[in-house]
Amino acid sequence: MTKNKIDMEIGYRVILVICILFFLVQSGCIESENNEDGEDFSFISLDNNVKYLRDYRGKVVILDMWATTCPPCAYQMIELQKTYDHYGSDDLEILSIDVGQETPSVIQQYRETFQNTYGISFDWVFGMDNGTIWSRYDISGGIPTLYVFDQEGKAYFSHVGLCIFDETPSGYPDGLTRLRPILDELLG
Amino acid sequence: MKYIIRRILVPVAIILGIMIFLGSVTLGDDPVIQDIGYAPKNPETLSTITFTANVTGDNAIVYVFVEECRDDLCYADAQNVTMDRIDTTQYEKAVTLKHGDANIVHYQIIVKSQGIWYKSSLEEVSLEGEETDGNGTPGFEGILLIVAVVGLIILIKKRY
Repeated sequence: MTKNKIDMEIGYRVILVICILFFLVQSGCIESENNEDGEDFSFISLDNNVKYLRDYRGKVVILDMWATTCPPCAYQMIELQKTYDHYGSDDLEILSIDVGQETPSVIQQYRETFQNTYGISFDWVFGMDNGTIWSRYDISGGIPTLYVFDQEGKAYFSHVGLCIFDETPSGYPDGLTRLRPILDELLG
Repeated sequence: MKYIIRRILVPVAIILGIMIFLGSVTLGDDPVIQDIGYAPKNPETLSTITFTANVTGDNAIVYVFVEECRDDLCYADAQNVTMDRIDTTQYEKAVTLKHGDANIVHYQIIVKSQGIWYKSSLEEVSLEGEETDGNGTPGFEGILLIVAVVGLIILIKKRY
């Protein structure tokens, strides 16, 4: 067999395999990533990369929409730190997305200030809204706004305003929503 | 020696002088933000507050950032508006508040000068006359007042 014929044979086989795979994906026999029921959105990480909610499938994800100028958002972060300390990062991820159009350096400086002043490091994922998250998940215009997505990316809980992890710290208003019962349902 | 002075040192001195002059003109000093204030001293919800600041710096664009908050949240539709220059270094801007249930306003003066952003610290103002229903309409107290006035009118009419 000549070399040209061998090349053509390989080419035909590759095309055949691609066609079969395409048919299987279309017919639903193979589930592609895009056919998931879970929600997805993208955001810009502090190192200027595009990240997606789908990157954290298998974990419960808390979406925390905030801005550095918002004092209740700072209290929210302290409560999120308690949440992260309690559940760990194996089964839970927190995405704190700045919706105040602030720069990575401003956000980083904010984290460093907390680290230096209170010894709280906020070791979860921080990023910036690329213009799609707030327009999609804004409930009534207030921040912090929290969403909890389950392991499959389905929205399980949402809330506008400060939530506490479990016990109300002194000086906080009474009747704040507790995150722990909601997360216990998802994380066991 | 004269040749060296005339042909080399003098042009070098002139060029250096021009560079230093241009440097001082184009770079300028960092802007200084001071005497930040607002009026009236006890602003109410949904009212108009006039913010003032003294800002030095060439070709500076001065903004005021105004954010309305409650105890448990801040509204994300913060206003970031350009301040009017009313004097060489004096800037002011009247900003109308938008949320009837806000009880705190945070504000900050932001300056863009020579492509660099400068910010004052975030200041806080407490608001008076917080609306309970959040939409600027009369609340329960208003209804009570109306009922009392109507009752008084009926009593007076019955007497006379």
